[in-house]
Amino acid sequence: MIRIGLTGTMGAGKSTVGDLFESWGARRVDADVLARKVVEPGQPALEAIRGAFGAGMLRADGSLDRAALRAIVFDDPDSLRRLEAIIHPTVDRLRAALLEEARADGARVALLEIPLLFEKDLPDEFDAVIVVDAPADVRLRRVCESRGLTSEEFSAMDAAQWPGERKRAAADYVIWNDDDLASLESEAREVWDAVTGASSAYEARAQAVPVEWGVDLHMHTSASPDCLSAPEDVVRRAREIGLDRIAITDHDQIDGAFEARALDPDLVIVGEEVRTAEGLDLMGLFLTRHIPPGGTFREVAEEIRRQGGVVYLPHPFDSHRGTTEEFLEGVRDCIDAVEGFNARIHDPRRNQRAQNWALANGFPLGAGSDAHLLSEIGRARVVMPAFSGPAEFLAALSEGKIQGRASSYRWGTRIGLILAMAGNAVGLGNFLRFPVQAAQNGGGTFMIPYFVSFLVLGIPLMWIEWGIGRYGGRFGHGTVPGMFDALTDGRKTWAKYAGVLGLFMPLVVFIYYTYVVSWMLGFSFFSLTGAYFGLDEVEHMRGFLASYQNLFDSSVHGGWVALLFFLATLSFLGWVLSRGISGGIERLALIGMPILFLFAFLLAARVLTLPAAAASPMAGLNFIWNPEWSSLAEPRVWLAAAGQMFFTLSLGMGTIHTYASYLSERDDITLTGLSTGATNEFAEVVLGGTIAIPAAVVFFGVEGAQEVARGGPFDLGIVAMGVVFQGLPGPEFLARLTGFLWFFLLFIAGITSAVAQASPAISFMQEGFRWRRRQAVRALMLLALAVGMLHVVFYPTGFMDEWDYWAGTFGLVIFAAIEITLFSFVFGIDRGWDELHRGADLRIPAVYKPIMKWVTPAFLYTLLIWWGLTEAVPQLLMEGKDPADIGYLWLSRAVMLILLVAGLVLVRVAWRREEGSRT
Amino acid sequence: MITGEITPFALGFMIASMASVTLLVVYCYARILRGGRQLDGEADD
Repeated sequence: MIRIGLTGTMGAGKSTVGDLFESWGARRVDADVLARKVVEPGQPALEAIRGAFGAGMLRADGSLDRAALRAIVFDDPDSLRRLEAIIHPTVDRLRAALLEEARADGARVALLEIPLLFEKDLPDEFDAVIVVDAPADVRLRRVCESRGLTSEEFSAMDAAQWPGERKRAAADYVIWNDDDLASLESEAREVWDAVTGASSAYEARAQAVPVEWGVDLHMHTSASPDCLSAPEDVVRRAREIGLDRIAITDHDQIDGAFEARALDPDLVIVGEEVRTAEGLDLMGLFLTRHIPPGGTFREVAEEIRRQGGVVYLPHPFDSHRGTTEEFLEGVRDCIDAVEGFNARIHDPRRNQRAQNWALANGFPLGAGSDAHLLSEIGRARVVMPAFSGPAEFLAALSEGKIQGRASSYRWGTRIGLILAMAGNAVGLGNFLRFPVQAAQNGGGTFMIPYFVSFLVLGIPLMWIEWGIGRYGGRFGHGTVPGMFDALTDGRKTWAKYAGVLGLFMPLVVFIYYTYVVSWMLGFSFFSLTGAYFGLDEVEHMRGFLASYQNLFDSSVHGGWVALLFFLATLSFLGWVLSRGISGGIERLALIGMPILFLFAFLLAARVLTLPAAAASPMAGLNFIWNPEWSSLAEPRVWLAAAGQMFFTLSLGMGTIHTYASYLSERDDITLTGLSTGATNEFAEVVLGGTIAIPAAVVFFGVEGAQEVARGGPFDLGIVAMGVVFQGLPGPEFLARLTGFLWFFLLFIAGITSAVAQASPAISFMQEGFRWRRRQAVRALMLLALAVGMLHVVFYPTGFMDEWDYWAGTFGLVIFAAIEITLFSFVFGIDRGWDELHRGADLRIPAVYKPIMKWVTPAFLYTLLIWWGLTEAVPQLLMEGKDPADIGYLWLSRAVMLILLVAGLVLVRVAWRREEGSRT
Repeated sequence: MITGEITPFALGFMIASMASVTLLVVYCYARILRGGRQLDGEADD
């Protein structure tokens, strides 16, 4: 009789394989079933448990209370050992008896299913041991779905067993169950045939089972003079983030690596980064003793090899510690492998140069974080076949794939992140669009659909975008195409091309939005100089604005004025963006957002204390907030509220995704995301509603303000407010200063949104084409200037309105509909829910799970259909447009289309490059 | 509408709306401050 031991990892599919083997004729003995049998009422083991743990372990009917017993033994190793001492001998006896019975019955194959077969040291009892295993994320999903466990519970239980790689290494046969039932059956059949002697087809397959490790080959501990991370913290952190092996490579020291290896021998490769006489760094891996610095490159390499180690060349072309190809030519024979990606090197071209040189010279490529901080560990790694010892290491490294992001891709502080995200959301719409929407759609009652939209559309979609962004960031993706690809596990090509919308829309919006933001800078300047003071009629002020916006109308301004402020705004944006995430964008938010709130409070206070003119400030508030109950029955009002939610939270753009991609999976996104949403709502509801409309009502009366509001946000924000400032009581310099506060507030609100809109394109050029950040920023600014000039020149024709509608309005809803479908239905709401809660400080109420899966998509698709029918079709057909402008509008669409196609092509090219670099 | 005045309903809606978002902001930032948690690795820096 052939005795087969069947084991595996949790959720891998042991029972299914057991069912198959049983159906093919095996006599099956399940250890779990036996363990349950021996504690049935009346069995001696149950009595022993009661004696050891008390009568509380039994239910009223005399059966074992498993939950009570689990509660005792779960965190108490001593209790667990006592329980095992009671149960295991009985189970072993029963198992032996059943085996004997099978033999007596003439069974040809006995299958014993034992989850902890290796842990209990039982392999020798079997003729063959079969391990069933699957990728951790697949197992997690299965276990969470079938047993209702949380990811934390799964991780805790999984960690109590041998890791899958170790079980597979110790097995005679491995069944890799990462696909559907049919392929599992096919694999199981091959193993069955091999074990029973029917076929030898298995052998070849078994060797093909992927056993891959994630390995970070370069990091430091406190043994290095420039690092404070204790070896035990480094080991803990590496395990926490799922690294399988790490090389500890302190500067000219080895004690930290030895200390770490003593803590976790399986994890740590002992190494050292030795400074050579030439001033270069050279690393030895798999070392046995310290190598003093100061030897020549060749001497150090020889010493590494004397110790049986691997000579690994770190950051060969780094600007400070690197060298030249000429030097390396002379020492080629001393090198075994080359660091092709170092996460601390900010200039991607230097890593690229290292890869090129290594590949040209036939060296395997490694990667490492060069972590000097715990948070940096794992930022670069090689995913490579499992290995044992230096010789296998080099062979495995040759088959490895580099994964990594430069360490500069990160936020500095949590408050900086919140303010930058809030800055992305708080824009011109908060101060100009919201009060107009509220006044035109039911006043106070508008807030009912508004808050409903916030709860069932805004907040869930925002959390989803944060989740998608952070998830994609883990795979090194800073833009939506890569993130959508990761969401579908690379199985749906269309997803990454659909993700181009997340590159295209922020780019398009950035171009025209920056031009509008530059007007605010211009009018800040005009306020300080008093350029429009004296134009105290709406019509005069409108002419002042129209002349500014029309390059060919020099009645008030020369055409160069608008261009000048556009250039100044682009230059400022370029400067901020080129300074990086924490040094540029975050610093802008940390300075700009408090100023924005300060200015808004000052302006709100000024408006509310204005003496009544045509009406009082209270009448202005009444104009916005007075409820019209009948409006609640109008779909138009509900859709206006939903639309406002999109604009105000910057949803459906791709900007939140890019910002969130700079987060670690251990960072909270639920509370942080909600905080940015709340900050935006405060800016909108409390401050946005208290400045422009009430001020307009005071000066123009309710009817005049209605007229202004109908003219659109620029009539309100620039024309009407320009007149208002001139009418303010008190000295003129205070009036000018108030005007400056208003326009500069709008400039800050706009600029903090514009940097977010620019970020996806910059991130894409850096990651997809390995451009330096400054290079990518410069290219984007030139593109924005070149294409933006079309807006500067053709603004009066409605050129910008086309872009604003298709990319800045309708496109947002299309993109959001795609992303929520992918998240909730392709990625899976259960996986998504767990993903959102990684590192969470706030548990999202359970009701949001069905909301995210059904309510938000339904809301979105309704909005999409409604807008499609009522707005998109008339817009597409250019209904109501001036025939003289039609040609310009087609040009506007053609430029947009070119940008979209270019985006698709670039994504394809970037993907091919990446695939090429992997092979 | 009463010119120069705000109706009780308008006032009610305004106060309720502004109070809601203010409370949400206070709740979020209070939880963040109470938790004292920073970004992953922020403290190490």
